[in-house]
Amino acid sequence: MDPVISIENLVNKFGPHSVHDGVNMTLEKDEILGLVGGSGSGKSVLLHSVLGLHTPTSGSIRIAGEPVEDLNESEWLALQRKWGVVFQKGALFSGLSTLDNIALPIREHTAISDENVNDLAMFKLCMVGLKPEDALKSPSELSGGMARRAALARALALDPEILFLDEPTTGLDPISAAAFDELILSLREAMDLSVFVITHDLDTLVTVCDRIAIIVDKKVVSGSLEDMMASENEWIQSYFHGPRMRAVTDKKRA
Amino acid sequence: MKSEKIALSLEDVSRIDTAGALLIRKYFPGADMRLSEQQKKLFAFLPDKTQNSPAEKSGNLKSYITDIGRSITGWLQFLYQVIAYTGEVATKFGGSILHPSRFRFAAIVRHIDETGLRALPIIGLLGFLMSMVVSYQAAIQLQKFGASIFTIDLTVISLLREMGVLITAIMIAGRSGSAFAAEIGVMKLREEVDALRTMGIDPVETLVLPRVIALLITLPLLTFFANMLGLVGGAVMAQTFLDIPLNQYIARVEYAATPTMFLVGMIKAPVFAFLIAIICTYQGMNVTGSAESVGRLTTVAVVQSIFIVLLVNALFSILFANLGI
Repeated sequence: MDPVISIENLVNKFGPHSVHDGVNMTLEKDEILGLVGGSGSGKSVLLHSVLGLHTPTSGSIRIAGEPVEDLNESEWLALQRKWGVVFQKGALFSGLSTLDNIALPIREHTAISDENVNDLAMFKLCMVGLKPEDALKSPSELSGGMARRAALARALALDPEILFLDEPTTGLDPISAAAFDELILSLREAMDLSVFVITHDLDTLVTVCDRIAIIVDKKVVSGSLEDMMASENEWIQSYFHGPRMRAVTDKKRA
Repeated sequence: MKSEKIALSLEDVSRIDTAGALLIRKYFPGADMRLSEQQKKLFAFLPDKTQNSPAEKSGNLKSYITDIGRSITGWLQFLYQVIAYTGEVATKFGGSILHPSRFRFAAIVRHIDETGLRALPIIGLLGFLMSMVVSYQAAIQLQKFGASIFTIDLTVISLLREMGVLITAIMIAGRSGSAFAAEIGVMKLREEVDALRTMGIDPVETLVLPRVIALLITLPLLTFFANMLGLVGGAVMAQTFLDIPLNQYIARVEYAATPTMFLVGMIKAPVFAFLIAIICTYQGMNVTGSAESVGRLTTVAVVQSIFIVLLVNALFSILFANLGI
């Protein structure tokens, strides 16, 4: 089957400084791909390039088989309905209640009646593990974990095929983070999602991701966790054999 | 038709999204369903019955009255806190006068540059244009009585007594007051203010006092600048529109603009400066929680300071009228 996203020879330059120099990467259907890399290695730039928020210097990005640079406006719109994005801090609209945040994309993009939009938004809200009484809270009243869940519900509002998560568990306590990981796994099963997740959370990487992509030396190396553990590259070695990683993998083995 | 008699066979449906699943559950509650593995996982997420979104609380008479009460106590509390805050700033100011080394001269100079020097072009232009406009309107009316020469009196008096200082204060409230509130607000938000406190550095002394002092220095100077440019604007208008030669214009200005009149305008400038600086820095220090509160409180700061400036200006008018100045 064709990959959902394929990136070929992506180059991103900011002035003389290049962030990506020939990135090749794919996201296969129904897989959860974890993207890791040091701070400032261009994880966010890569995500922004895929989402069309940043125009790459050169290279091609194909989503669902279609090269994104050739899309006209209405094709872009159709593509945007196929993905959901959870931003780092949730990016919930501060002027709307939680429920209206989730209902917004449904209202904007479909002709569903108001009553059904509300039911659907309520369903999504409960689906991500929020309580009905959270529906009318404003985003500032939600805790970090709840806000992340609400953002996930909003990303899932239109039943996307691809889900992008930008550091979904950063800043959450371990219990909320583990619960969020569980949620991603069960939602993937139920909704047939392909998931692209940027993460620093080693637990997420080990428990959730089917495959791991790493940005090293301005390129992407990808493979299973075992491949990565066996890699010869110095940076990957230190990443996957550091004391924190050992703790996580030991826990998993135990 | 009883719903328990219905059986749905959905295994062969290739794709059901959440909206579809929800509608099936809504219209066929309790129906027998044969589902594929993936569909089972999706349906497992469905609530047993559709969750109604909680209704928003509607207002009644009681809640309106409590709202009014709450906003009144809010205002009183605000007044109390601003007075307490003014006291705090004043004490710090007094302390700094006793130990002049505690004045942050570098910061004061920076704020003088930002609020004063950089505001010169816009304040000058504003003074120039406003006095031309007033002069033009006055000229049209006074010409009917053949009293064109009094256009100069009217322009000069209104400029020096009221307009010069008012437009400067309003412009500075919008330009520098908002910057004060936003700068301090962002620092508060990013815990920089707390960081200062834990290091034993007083945030009022380092952040507020330099801004207050800088504005106390710059606003009178800017007012003077606006007045002068206003007089130039009047001169241009007199030459082009009224055919009054420059030397006659200057003589008329000298006759109309008494020192008292000039001072009546200028004395208000430091008072306005103090009010603007206090209110805007106070609102900045009040920022809590999220970034949106920075935006909200910055707006509040500007609106409140302009309101207070106009109110105090009216009080000044009453005072001067009673004093016969």
